Amino acid sequence: MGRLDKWFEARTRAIARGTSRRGFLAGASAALLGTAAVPLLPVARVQAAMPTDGDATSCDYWRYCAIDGFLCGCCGGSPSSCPPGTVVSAVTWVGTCRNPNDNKDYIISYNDCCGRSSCGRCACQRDEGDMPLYRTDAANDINWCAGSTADIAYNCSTAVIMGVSTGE
Amino acid sequence: MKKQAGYSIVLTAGLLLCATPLAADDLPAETPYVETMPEGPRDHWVALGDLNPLGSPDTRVVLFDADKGEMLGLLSTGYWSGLSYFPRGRSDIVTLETYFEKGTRGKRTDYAVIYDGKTLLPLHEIEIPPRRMTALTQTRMADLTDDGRFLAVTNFTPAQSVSIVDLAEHRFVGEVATPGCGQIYPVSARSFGILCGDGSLRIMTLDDAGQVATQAEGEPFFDAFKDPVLVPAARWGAAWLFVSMDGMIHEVAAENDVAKLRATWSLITDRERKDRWRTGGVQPLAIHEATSKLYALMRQGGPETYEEPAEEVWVYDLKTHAKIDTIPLTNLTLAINVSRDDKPLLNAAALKTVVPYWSLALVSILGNKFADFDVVKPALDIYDAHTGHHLRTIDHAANFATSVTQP
Repeated sequence: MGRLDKWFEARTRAIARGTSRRGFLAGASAALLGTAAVPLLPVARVQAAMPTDGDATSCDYWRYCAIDGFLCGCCGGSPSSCPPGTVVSAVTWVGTCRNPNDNKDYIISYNDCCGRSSCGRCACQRDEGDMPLYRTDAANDINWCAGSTADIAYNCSTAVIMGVSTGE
Repeated sequence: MKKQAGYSIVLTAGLLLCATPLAADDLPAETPYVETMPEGPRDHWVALGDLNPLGSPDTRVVLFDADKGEMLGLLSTGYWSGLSYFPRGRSDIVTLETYFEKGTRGKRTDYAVIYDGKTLLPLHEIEIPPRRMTALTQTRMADLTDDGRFLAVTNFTPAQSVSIVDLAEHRFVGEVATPGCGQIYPVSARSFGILCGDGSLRIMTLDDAGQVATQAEGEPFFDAFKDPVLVPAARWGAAWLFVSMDGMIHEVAAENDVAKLRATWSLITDRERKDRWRTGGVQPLAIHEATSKLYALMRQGGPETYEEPAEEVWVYDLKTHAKIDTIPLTNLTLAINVSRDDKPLLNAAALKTVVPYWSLALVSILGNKFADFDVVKPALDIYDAHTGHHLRTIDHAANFATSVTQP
């Protein structure tokens, strides 16, 4: 590799480290997942389509701060819906993301969509607050389709708003 | 059309002329055959666990000769596996495999499969409960007891349990509930540790029939909330070295079948911690036992980058805990391992950027977007583990490799 290439490599890596929360090459670890018990809590819920407060097909969209997987918004679903023919994982894990539009922290449930091959589009790994496998409450490496009726066939990951975090 | 047809006739005639053999230079006729795996030591074989995320029902174990830089063959491991185990002193290879009746739906069946290490043909397919755990970090999902007799497999439904497989009698022995505990760390001929969410390592010992003879809970050796350790640890004799997210090494050894914390030390200085050095990748630690060296994949970044590919390997003397070398990596790397022999190789599952970096910088400056997968391809990098010299890169080694295993 030439000296010029080396210099650009160092620059590119430095830029990537400094400017991207999701990190350079993060998408390469596309296999991954996340999940949270589907809405069992007694709060008002809506069925939301593609959100309008940001680009839900971009890994930089605020709800994806702790995600690790293929974005359902690129796969026939949305951040809060699964693509046709799939099923929503029964259990999942949650993250907390700051919404830059109202500056509030929201609890986000990263339910996986299951029952088809991996979508393969819009791989996104952000990993904020991600914990090792034994911390199942916060482990996005786990294939959470394991708890679904479709078993471990993983298709894509959602990012469903559960509510505003109280910071507890 | 007529003109094109005319060209075709001329072309065909030309090809026929070229194909007419010259009698003096005839090549011998060939009979196709199937290769077998090479004879001799397997120390420099490398098995990449390929999760193949764009074809999850078709994961693989890809086998390479690291000296020659050649692929030797592959094992198809079905849905979300890529897991292989090499019993010491035997030539067979054990895999975990999962199949759905109709690709991604229908009845799920899980197997532990024993392959002939010479022909790579399956010798025994042992059906196990269809509950084995799947995740990005696959390295400690199962393992062999040191005597090679039994395989312990982590299950997750999300209820947690461990399946025991008898590889000598080719049968599933039984399933033991392990609430709150999952990943497998062999510690002796018939014992293995199971990592628990309370920060402890529970030691499970099997009898000759594979039944659980004893289970010993250990004292928590780390705080799972303040500074959790990573699941992919490295074995050093009777001990396992776990690295925490903040760069602390915890050496845990089984003494009289109870896990004991033997030492805790830091991989990084305060200054390096301030500069945000931490381990990276999904298999960040490797140990060469004979020289007591620890190899750690290192990168700079915030805590959320702890699984992102790393740029360097730092080498430590395990007896003094001193950092003794830095190996700059040719390509960003996700997983490492070191061969066991006296001419050890450092094998690295890497992501090779296949276009010049200056072109990426140019694209970024011009404001064009590109996906990471557009510009990187998984590769296997081989280094001399003593000198750190990069020996060779094997391109297109896998679709997406998340583990490096060796016989």
